Amino acid sequence: MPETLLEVKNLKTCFYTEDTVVPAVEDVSFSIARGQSLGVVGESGSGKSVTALSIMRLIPTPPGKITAGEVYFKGDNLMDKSEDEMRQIRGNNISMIFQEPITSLNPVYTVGRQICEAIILHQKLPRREASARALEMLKLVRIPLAEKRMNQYPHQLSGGMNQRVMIAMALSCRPELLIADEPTTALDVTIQAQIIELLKELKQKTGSAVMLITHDLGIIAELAADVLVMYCGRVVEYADVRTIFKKPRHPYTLGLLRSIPDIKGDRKKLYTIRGMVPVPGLHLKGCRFSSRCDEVTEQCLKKEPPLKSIDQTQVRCWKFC
Amino acid sequence: MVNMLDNGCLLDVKNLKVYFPVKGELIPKIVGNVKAVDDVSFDVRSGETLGMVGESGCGKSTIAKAILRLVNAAAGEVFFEGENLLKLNGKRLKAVRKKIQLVFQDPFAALNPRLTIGGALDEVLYIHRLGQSATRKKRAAELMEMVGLTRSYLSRYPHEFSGGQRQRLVIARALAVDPKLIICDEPVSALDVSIQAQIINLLEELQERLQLTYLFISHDLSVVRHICGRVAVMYLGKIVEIAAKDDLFADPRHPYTVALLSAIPICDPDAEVKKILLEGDMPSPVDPPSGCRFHTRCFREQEICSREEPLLKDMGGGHFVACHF
Repeated sequence: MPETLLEVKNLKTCFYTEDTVVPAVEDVSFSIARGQSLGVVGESGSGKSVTALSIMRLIPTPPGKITAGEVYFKGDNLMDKSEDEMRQIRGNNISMIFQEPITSLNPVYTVGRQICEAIILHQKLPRREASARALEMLKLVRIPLAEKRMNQYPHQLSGGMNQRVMIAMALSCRPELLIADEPTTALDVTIQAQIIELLKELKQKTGSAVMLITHDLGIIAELAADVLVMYCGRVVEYADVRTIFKKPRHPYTLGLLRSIPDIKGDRKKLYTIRGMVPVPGLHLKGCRFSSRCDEVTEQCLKKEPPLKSIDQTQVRCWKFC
Repeated sequence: MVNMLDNGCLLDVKNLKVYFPVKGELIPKIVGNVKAVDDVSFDVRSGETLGMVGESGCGKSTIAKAILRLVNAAAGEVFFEGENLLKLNGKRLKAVRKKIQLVFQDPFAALNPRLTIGGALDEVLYIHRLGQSATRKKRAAELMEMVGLTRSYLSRYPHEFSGGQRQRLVIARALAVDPKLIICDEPVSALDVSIQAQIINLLEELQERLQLTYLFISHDLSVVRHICGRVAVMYLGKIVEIAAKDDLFADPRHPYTVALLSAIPICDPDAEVKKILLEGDMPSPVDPPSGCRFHTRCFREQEICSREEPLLKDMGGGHFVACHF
């Protein structure tokens, strides 16, 4: 077992509105080992991105606040770090890729300059060396004519190309952990396949651990070793990828898997999870999935089930308690 | 499948071309054309669902808009029930538009935020002169129930609904005028999987109940495989392959279709897939490659490909492919 790189314990992040407190993420715990990959799945509003931003301490405060929990990165609790220390860690040790590359890049600087900026800031390299490193990174993510692209602006590149630039920038300081928040959602399938292949390859080459946030279970199956399924700010199932796909335990995981139109399958009615994700902040008693669950019992409505471990899987369902 | 036997052709598109002029940077003179849709022909039979797939910028949505005359076609013919839509105008055009309705991708942008749902439905009925105020109200309530919502929602505004509900509302609005053909332009792309499944089921139910015909535009091949009977694959403004669903997925002939199919992530961690990765991006439609438009990214490319443009050839059984090999 390789050493643990990141360990999140009982994370709770709340958002304060004028009259209520909305817990966006509650009691989330997981760990990522060095060089490992963790996939986080769930529908919109399940707290995936908030978890990622909490790890980076990038939750806008106010209205948001991390109210409980610890995040250990290489044994140090990130929650105790000062803002200056955090700034050293972000980009250097942990870096992040966002969904829309075009909104994450600065439109008035060339992409080469933007990558250099990150390298100069974090690695304290002189400009010439930084520029050489930036070029090397662009070649690593297989951007054709990298020398020419260095001097171009984001609007001159396509979506897939911009996402490569983002990945190059994120990896330029050789981080130990890469958090990718929906890295391929805005891209076409053929470009998505290119980016997934690239991430796989880079993970091997650089040895970075990857935390991949997505709502596409297909991408999870290809890239992740462990999977965290989230629903309404809670972890509902946490297991290795094979168990999640072959033997899903939580009714929500099962529902998610069954509602995907099968590319090999034939024409039959799709399974649907009835209803929709409840409004956050609406305080539900009992299991948060109970309003949409097919196997709901009286107990589910009364009390929220604890996260229970059964053969290396963690499930939050009364069925297994 | 509904009406599989009825092979009547509802929509027949012949050699459709849609060009957008490109102006010079300094002098506003037309220097070229974006050939968004270039010589596309296909037909949609009554009662079927024709899928149209391809990457962004390949011209899928432009075809939808050209059929409804929301953009002007440069050339070609579009026959709907034997009438050439591109020649119609005024009253006749309005009458035909009643029979063809459009469902857009983004339900957040498709509804007027300042109009209640009741108002939005009423507007459509009013414009098409469908009944007096009282009948229109009744019809609006009927439509809400048809798409699985309650009539008490009629007085609400779009922001009070979730994405899935809004897509239902957009579908209700499209159904208001009793259309025959509904063009669905990426109707489920903006939705979560669990909601996506609900909308797909709704579309299928409605098709059966109301004898609808769909032209279903999507980039998601697994959704297309689920809902469509026939599928057309587009690349850079051209149809490169068109075939019955089972044929296309079991035996894709065009290298682009092959690559597209292999690019889909499969929900099985043990699946052994040999991926065919396409190099680079789609070329610009302003200046498409010579010969076969796909040859710059093709893994079967040969010398003839950059010289001659392949035509759609019948491979038997309604399977058409535009490739030299």
